[in-house]
Amino acid sequence: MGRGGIRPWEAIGRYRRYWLSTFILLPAGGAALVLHRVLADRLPPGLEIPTLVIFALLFAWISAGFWTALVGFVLLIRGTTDTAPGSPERRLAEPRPRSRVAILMPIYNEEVERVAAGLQATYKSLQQAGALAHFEFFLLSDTRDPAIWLREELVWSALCQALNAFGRIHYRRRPINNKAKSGNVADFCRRWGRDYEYMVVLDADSVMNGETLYRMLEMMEGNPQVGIIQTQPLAVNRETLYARLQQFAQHVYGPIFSAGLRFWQLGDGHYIGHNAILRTAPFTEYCALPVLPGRAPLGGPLLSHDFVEAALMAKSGWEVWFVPSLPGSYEEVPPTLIDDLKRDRRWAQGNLQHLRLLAGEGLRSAHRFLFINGAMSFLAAPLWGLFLILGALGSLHWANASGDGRMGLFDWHGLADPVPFWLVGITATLLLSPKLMAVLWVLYQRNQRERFGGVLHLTVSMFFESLFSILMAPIRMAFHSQFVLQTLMGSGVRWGGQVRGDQETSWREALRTFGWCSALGLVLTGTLYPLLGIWHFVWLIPILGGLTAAVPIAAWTSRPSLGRWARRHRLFVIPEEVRVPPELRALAADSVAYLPHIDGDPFVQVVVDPRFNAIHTALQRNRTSAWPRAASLCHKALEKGPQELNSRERNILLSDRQSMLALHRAVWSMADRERLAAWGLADEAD
Amino acid sequence: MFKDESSYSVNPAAEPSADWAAEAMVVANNAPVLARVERYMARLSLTDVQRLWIRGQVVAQLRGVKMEGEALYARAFACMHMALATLTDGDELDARLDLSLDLPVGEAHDGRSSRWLQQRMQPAMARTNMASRPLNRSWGAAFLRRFQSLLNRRAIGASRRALPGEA
Repeated sequence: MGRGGIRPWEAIGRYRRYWLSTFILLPAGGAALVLHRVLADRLPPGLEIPTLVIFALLFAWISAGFWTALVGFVLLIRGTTDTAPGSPERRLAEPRPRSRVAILMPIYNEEVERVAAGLQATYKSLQQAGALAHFEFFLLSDTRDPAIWLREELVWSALCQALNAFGRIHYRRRPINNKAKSGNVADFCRRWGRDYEYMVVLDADSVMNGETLYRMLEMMEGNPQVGIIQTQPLAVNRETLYARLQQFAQHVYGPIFSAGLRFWQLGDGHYIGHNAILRTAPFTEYCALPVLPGRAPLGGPLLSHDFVEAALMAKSGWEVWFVPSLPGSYEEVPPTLIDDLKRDRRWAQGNLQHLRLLAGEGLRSAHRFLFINGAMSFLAAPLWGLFLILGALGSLHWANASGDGRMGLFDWHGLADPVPFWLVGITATLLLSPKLMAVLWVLYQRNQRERFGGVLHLTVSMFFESLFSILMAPIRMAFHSQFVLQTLMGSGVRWGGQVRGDQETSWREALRTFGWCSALGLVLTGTLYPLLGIWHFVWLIPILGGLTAAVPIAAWTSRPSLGRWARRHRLFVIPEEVRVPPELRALAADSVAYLPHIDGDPFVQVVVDPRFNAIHTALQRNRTSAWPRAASLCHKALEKGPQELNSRERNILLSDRQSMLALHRAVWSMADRERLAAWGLADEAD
Repeated sequence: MFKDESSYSVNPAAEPSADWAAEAMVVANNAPVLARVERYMARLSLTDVQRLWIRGQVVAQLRGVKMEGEALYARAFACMHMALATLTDGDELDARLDLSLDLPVGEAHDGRSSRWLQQRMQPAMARTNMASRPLNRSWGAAFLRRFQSLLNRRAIGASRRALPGEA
C-alpha cells in the first residue's frame, strides 16, 4: 500500500484553492453589490433579492471558468504545468516484469465493428511500442440485444484470430447488467481484479496510443501513492458540423482549461470514467459505489459514477491526478445536438445525485467542489432562465412605474446608467476572454498554427464557433432547465446505448425535438418587442434568436456534408486531421474488413452456420436448470420458425450449449421445405 | 486438431467390386440427402481429402438403411458429424471449431478446442469482494466535523513547535 506519507502538494493545493475561492467569491460579491446600487431604488425587494442572489451565483460560476483559463494560460506560456511537487510525471519507474494491466472496454449495444477497430488500433499501438507483455484487454459486454451479442462474440474470436491474441483479448458478457457501466467494471474487479495490479478503463469509442499507456504504467509504478491517473481525451474523428465545432472547441480551448484545472486540483483530481489508469486493489476495496436511499432519480444507484469513484479513492488516502500533458488519448463526441442533449440528460440526473453526497464524511473538499461544479453545469441553466425572467419582470415593473411603458433596465429615467454596461462588459469578458487566450496560446506555438488551418482560418473558425455557441446556449438552457425540473420532479432516465456514427438529424426529427424551442422564441419575440422597445430588445436578440433558430440549427449542424465542406475550407480543423496519428489511421473502416459479416438474422445464422454455431456454442455452458424451458423453446423454434421467438426467448436458447447444438442438428435434419425456408435453408430442400 | 491426411485414404479400390456397386446405389438413392451433406461441408473449410473421406463414411453408413424423410436426413447428418469427430479424434464441435478458427496445429489444448477457447475468452477467476462502505451523509454531522476540525487546527497552531531539522 502506497498511501499516506508525505504529500508535498497538499499544502500547495490548499493554498491555491483558497486563492481560487477568493477570486471567485470576492468579485461575485462585489458585482452583486454594484448591481444592488443600480436596482435598490428601482425594484421592490421581492424582485431585487432573488435577482441579486442568482446574479452572484452565475457570476461566481463563470468567474471560476475564467480564473481557471487564465491560470492555465499563464502556466502554458511559462511552460511550468508539470512542476508541482509530487506530480506523477516527475517520478517514472520502469514497470516490473510481472506488472499486469487490464484494459477494460465496457460496451452496451454498441456498433461492434467500431469497438473492434478501436481495440485493434490500441492493441497494435501497444505492440509497436513493445509494451504488449504488460497488457491484456477485456471486452466487458452488457449488451441485451441477442443480435449484437452474437456479433460481439464472432468479432471477438475473429479479432483474436487476426491479431493472434487469444489469451490477451478476453470477452465477458454479463447476464444481468446491474448498476450499468460501474457495475460492469465492478464485476471485472470481483472476478479478475486480483490478477491485475492496474486497470485502464476505456469507453467504447476510446483509442489510446501504446506509448501513452506505457507511460501511464511507468507513472503508476513510480508513484505507489497514486490511485488514479486521468488523461485528457481529445475529441476526434467526427464529420458532422456539430461534432466538428465541438472537436475544434475542445482542441483549442481545452489545453488552457486543463492546465488550470490541474493547477487547482493537484493530487485531488477528477476521473471521467474512461481513458484513465486505476490501481485495482484500492479501487476494489474503497470505490464500490453507495446506493442512495430513496427512489430514482435522486435516490438509488448513482448514475454518474466517475466523480464519486475519484472522491472515494481520495477519501481513502490515495491520490488522483489529472495529467493533461499525456498525448495520444482519444474519444469521440456525440455527432448531433440531439445526441449531445441525450447524454446531458443522463449527466444531469447523475450530477444532481452528487449533491446528496456533499456532506459525506471524509470526502476531500476539492471533490465536494467538483460535485457542486458538476451540478452547477446543469443548475446554471434554470438559474439563467430565472435571471432572464426576473430581468424582464423588473423591466416591466419599472416601465409601469415610470408610466411610459417602454423603458428598459438600461435606460431608466432617460439616464443612461453606465454601471449595467460595465457589468455586461465584465460578464462578456469573463465568458469570451478564455477563447482569446486559447487562440493566443495556439498562435504562441509556431508548430501548432498550421495544424489548426493557419492563423486566418483559426481566427475565422473561432469566430464562427463562438457564434454557434452563443446561438446554442439558449437551446441548451431550455433543455438543461427541462432536465433539472424533470429530475427534481421524480422523472428518471433509463440507461441507453449511445450513437457513435455520423447520423443526420432529419427536419422532422429536429422539428419534433426542438419545435417547442423555436415556438417559444417566436412567442417571446412577439410578446417582448412591443413591451420592451428596440433598445432593450436588442440585448435579447442572441437569446431569442438562438431559441427561434433551434430547429434549423439542429438540422443543419447535424449534416456531415457541411462538416466536410468546412474541413475542405480549412475551418474547424484540428491537429489530428492535419497529421493523422497512426492509431487513428488504424481506425479506417477497411482495417476491420476481415471481420465476419453476418447476413440477415444473426440468431438464424448462429443456429445454421456450422462455423458460427461452433464458436458461439463452444463459449456457452450447459444450463441444466433452463433445459425444460429451453426444450419447449427449441420445439417452438423448429415448429413455428425463429421469427416467433422474442429476444428473451432467444437469449435463453443462446445461453445454453445443448440447446444450440440440438437446434443446429435439428435444422439441418429437416425435410420440410417451408420450415427449412424459415431458417434460410430453402436451397437445401432439393 | 485434424488427423494427418496420410493416415487415411479416400481412393476407391482399383477394381470395381460389389462394395463399389452398392455405394453407387446408395448415392443414387439418396442424392438429396448427400447434396445437403455436401452443402454443409462446403460451409466448413475442409480440404478435398477430408471432405471426400467424410462423404465416403456417410455413404457407407447409409448403406442398407431403410429410412426416409427427416429420419434419413438426421441419420446422414449424424454420420457426418461422427466422421468429423473421428477426423479429430474428439468431438464434432471441436472439429468445427478448429476449422472455424483455423487453430494452429500443435497448440496445447489437448484436442478440446471448446474448453481452450472458453479459457481464452475468460481467464480463471480469482474472486475478490467489492462492497460499498458506509458513508455518513448527515449534514448535522458534517457541520459538527467542520467545527471540530477548526477547533483542532487552532489547538495545533497554538502548540506548534519546531522539530529538530524542521525549517
